Amino acid sequence: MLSEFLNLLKMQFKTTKNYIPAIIFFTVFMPLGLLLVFGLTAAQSFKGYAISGTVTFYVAVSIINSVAQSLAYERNVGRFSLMMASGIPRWVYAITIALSNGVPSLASITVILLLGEFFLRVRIESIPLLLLAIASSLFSASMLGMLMGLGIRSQQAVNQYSNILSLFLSFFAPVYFPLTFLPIPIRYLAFLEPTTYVSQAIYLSILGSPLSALWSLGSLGFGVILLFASKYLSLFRS
Amino acid sequence: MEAVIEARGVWKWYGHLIANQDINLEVRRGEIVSLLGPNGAGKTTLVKQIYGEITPNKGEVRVLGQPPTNAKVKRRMGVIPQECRPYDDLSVWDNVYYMGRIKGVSKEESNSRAEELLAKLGLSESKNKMAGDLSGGMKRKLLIAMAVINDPELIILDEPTTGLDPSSRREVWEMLQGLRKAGRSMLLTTHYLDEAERLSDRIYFINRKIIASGTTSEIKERFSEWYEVIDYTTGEVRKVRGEEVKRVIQEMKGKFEVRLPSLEDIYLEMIRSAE
Repeated sequence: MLSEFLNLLKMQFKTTKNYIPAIIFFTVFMPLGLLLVFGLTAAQSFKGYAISGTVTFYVAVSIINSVAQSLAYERNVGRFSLMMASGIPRWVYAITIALSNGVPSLASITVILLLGEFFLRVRIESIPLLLLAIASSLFSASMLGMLMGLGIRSQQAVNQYSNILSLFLSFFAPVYFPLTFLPIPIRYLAFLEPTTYVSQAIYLSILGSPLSALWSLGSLGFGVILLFASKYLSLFRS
Repeated sequence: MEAVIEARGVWKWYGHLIANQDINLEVRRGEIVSLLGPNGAGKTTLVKQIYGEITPNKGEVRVLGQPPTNAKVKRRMGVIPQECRPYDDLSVWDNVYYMGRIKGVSKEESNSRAEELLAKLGLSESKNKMAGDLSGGMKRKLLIAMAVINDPELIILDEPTTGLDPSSRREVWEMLQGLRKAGRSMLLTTHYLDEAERLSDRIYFINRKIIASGTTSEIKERFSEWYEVIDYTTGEVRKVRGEEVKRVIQEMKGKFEVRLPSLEDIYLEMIRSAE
């Protein structure tokens, strides 16, 4: 199964090479714009949030959307059936789509971090914590996209709701500002949003705080729950 | 002859909607069997259970002697699901080669089989083209190449020619006949009576449940309860029972023709009465 999985992954990556102009724009220019807008208007002590917020925004918008929408499209054009008929379980195929959509975002995240250091003078204090935070956030966002892509029947509905959800999770969660800015009752609700965990884990890793690992763990937990939900749904659908 | 597909008492329902009702079906080695039925008749649901995408609520399906969900069995099958499209963003070659690799075919064999299949299907010149740039007929051929890259014993095609122009349909038919000659067993679903009649050894009429089955001539023999009498003088077409044919044609003044109903007539009659 490993060889089949790797070949599937390779095949998925090959399809992305047709979108180079869009990849360049979204990898370089859009993060630059977001960092300039949020970073240059923030006080120095909150500039770290411009970076963690932009990475989180990227994770939410690019990964949740692309995974959910790619899965819905693949289902719509009968490729899930094609793969299942070839002996590839539905959720394994979904994971390869999720990964092939998620991994290119690593380039965007690297660019955001480099631009942040260059324009906003924000230095990353702990690379291992940052890597943990990024890996867990890619995983949880991919799994959320996968659940939407597999869970909602109509492709139009998936496109619509993944757009709404990713933007909602970017701007109605403590992504560009500290969690403590929220009043108490709303703060509890923010714990239900995976982007809260993603942004806090990245922000604290920038400061070098070990608490970042706890937030990453939360993000990972979200991902695992969503993965099981997707797998259950795949079995239920059959 | 050994059965490559056996469905016994298969039921599939979604809430209150019954898609398949007590289906019994068999495809023997080397045969082409067609499933014919109107839209919503449960053909695709049945086919999905046969290639193991979904499982029956009741009853049993066995493919090559095993449950169809068995991964080893799937590697001995080639399937084109309904309305399936190749990977538009991959080249023709990549579509075929990677499908082989995914089905567990070795690198060398995938390479040589892909080369051979593309040549056989007239796709060699387009092998570096993106699949999305191919015409509908070429895409269908590409899907067939993807389905048979693992040299399957059993091929399942869900509406293989829907939406194709007449010449592309004929090309696909020729390919399928070629595969049959090579000893492959096939199950296909179709809306087209002429397709079923031309390609199939046996036909199943399905409208949630099996309403008739047999070879084309068996079905005609069994279900032709009347003849079609065409009066060329008046242009009138009359449905006449066997014992009345003699009397009716004696009354005719000009030229006439008497013929058995076509498979399509029988099919429409059956579907109507089953509803």
